[in-house]
Amino acid sequence: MGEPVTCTCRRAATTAIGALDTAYSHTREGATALDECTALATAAHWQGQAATLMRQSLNMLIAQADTIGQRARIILANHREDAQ
Amino acid sequence: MTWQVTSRISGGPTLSVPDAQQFQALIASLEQASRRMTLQARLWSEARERIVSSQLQSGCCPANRQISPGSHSNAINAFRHIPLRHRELSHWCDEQTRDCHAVAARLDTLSRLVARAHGLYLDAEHRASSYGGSIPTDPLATSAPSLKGLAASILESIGSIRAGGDARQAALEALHSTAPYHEAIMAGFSAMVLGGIAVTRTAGGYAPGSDDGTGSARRADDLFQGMLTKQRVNIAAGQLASLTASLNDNRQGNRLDLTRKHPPGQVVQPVDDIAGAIAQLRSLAESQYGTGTDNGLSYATIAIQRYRRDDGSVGWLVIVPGTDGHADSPFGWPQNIELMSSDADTRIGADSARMVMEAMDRAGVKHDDPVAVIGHSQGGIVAAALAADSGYNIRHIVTAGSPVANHPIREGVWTTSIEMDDELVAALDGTPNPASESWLTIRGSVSRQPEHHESNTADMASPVPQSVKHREMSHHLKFHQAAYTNALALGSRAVSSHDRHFSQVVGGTLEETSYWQGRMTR
Repeated sequence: MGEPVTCTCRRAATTAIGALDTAYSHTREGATALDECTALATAAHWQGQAATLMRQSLNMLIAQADTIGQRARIILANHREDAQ
Repeated sequence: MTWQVTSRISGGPTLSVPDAQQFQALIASLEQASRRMTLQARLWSEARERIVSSQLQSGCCPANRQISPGSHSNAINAFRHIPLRHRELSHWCDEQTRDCHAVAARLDTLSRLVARAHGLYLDAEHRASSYGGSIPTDPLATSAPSLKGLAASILESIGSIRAGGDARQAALEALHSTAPYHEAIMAGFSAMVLGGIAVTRTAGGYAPGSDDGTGSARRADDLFQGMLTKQRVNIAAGQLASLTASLNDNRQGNRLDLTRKHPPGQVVQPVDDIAGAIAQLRSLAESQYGTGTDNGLSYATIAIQRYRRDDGSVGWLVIVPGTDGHADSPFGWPQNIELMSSDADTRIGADSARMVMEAMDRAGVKHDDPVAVIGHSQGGIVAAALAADSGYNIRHIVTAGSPVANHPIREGVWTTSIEMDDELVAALDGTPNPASESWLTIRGSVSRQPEHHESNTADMASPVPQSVKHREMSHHLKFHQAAYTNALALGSRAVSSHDRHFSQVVGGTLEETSYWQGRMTR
C-alpha cells in the first residue's frame, strides 16, 4: 500500500459551488425589476404601435426571465446533489 | 429591403409633468432591470470560470483517479472529493449568461424606445451630446489640422458624390461616421469664412461706396461679432450671397419665366396628413431629380393644391422639390446660398422663393388664406423663408433635409422638420433646430436591417422603401419618409399633434391641383 490519497481539487469545487450559489441568489432580483417595469409600462399614458410593442416585449422578457430562474433552480439542485 | 431608419423626436408640445415623470420612471426602471440582468450575466459567467477551473484541477486530483466505478460514493466520502458534473454545469452557466445578456440588451432597446418616443434623453446620450458640444467651433480651434481635414473630407464627399463605385461608397461612409460633428464643423467653417472676409475688409480699410471710409471697419466689426453668434452660417451665407447673386444673375439671367403645366396624369394626389404630403412630395420630386419614374413634369416644377374645408373656407398646400442644378433653373445651387442668408431681403429675393410666391399668386392664394408648405432640401428652405419673410398666411411648414434652424420663422407657424443624422445638408445651418411647442424635429438614423427579423422588433425600425444593397445618400426623400413613418409609429403625442395641426390647415376636399414650372431667362 502507498501513501493515503487526499483530494486536491476540493477547494476549487467549493469555490465553484460558492459562485453558483451567488449567481443563483441574484436571480430573483432581475425578475422583480421586470415586474416593476411592467407595472410602470401598463400605467403609462401611451398608445400606439410602440406602446404595444413595449408591453408585449416586457411579457416576453418576463417569460425569458422565468426560464432563467427555472434553469438556475436546476443548477442549484444538481450541484447540491453532487456536493452531498 | 436592406436599410432601415429609427427616429427620435425633439420639440413639439411638451409632456405634462406627471406624464414626463411617468416616462422617466419607466426609463429608470428599464435601465435598472438591465443593470440587474447584466450583473446576473456576469455572475453566471464567473461561475462558469470557476467550474472550468475546478474541472481542470479535478483532472489532476489523485482522489479522482482512485475512484473506480462501483465504489463511487464510498470513495468520495473517503477522500472528501466533490464530483461536480462540470460539463453540464458549464453548459447551463453559458446558457444563463447568454440569456441574461439578451434580456439586458432588449431592456436597453426598450428604454431607448421610450426616450425616442417622448423626446427624453438617457444618461448615455447626455454624455454623448455634451462630448459633441465640446467640439471647438471657434476659427482658431477649427483650423486645427484634424478638424480641417475632417471638414475637407466632408466637403470633398459632396463633390465626389457624383462619382460611382468605391469612391462614392467611401464618401458616404465618411459622411455617416462623422454625422455627430457635421453641425459643429459647419459652424466652425462659417466662422472661418466670416473671419477671412472681416480680415480682408479691415486690411482694405475703405469699402467702395461707403461715404466716410469708416463703413468698412464697422462692417468688419460686425463680421467679427457675427463669428461668435449662432447665426454665423447665415451671416456667412449672406456675405457670400452678396457676391454670388449678381454672378448668378449674369450667368442665368434674372427674369423668372413661370408657366402652368398640365401633366398627362394627376402626379399629386389628395393629402390628409403629413405622411401623405411626404408621399406626394416624392411623387412630384423624384422624376425631377431623375431618381423616379417620369411623371411628365420637368425640373423646377412645384404643385399647389386648393382644399375646400368643411366651414367653406379655403386651405392651400404648396409642394416644393429641392435643388435640381439645371443651368436655367430657379432651384440651382447659388439660390441655396441666398436662401440661407441672415438678410430677409436676400432670402425672399432668391429665385426659388420668388418663383414659389409668384406661382402662389397666380394659383389664387390670397394673403389671408391658410397655407401649408412642404419642401425637400432647398424646397424646405424656401418654405422657411416664406414662413419668415412673406406676406402669406403660412400656418405650417414641413421641411425634409433642410438647414432651417436659424430662419426667423414667425410666431404661430408650426414647423415639422425631418432630418437624417448623416445627410449633411440638414446640418449646414451649424446648429440644432430650436425645440418648442410649434417646432418639432424628427431625426432619423439609418442602419442596416438585421438578418434575423426577431432582433429588429424591439428597436422598432422602419424599412426604407425601395432600398438597395449598398449605402445610399440619406438626403434622398425616401429616407425622410421612413423617418416620419417611424416617428409616427412611436406613438409620440408631439408628432400626432403636429400631424393634426397640418391636417387642419389642408383638411377638406381637394378642389384643384396646379403645377408651375420656373425657368430663369435674360
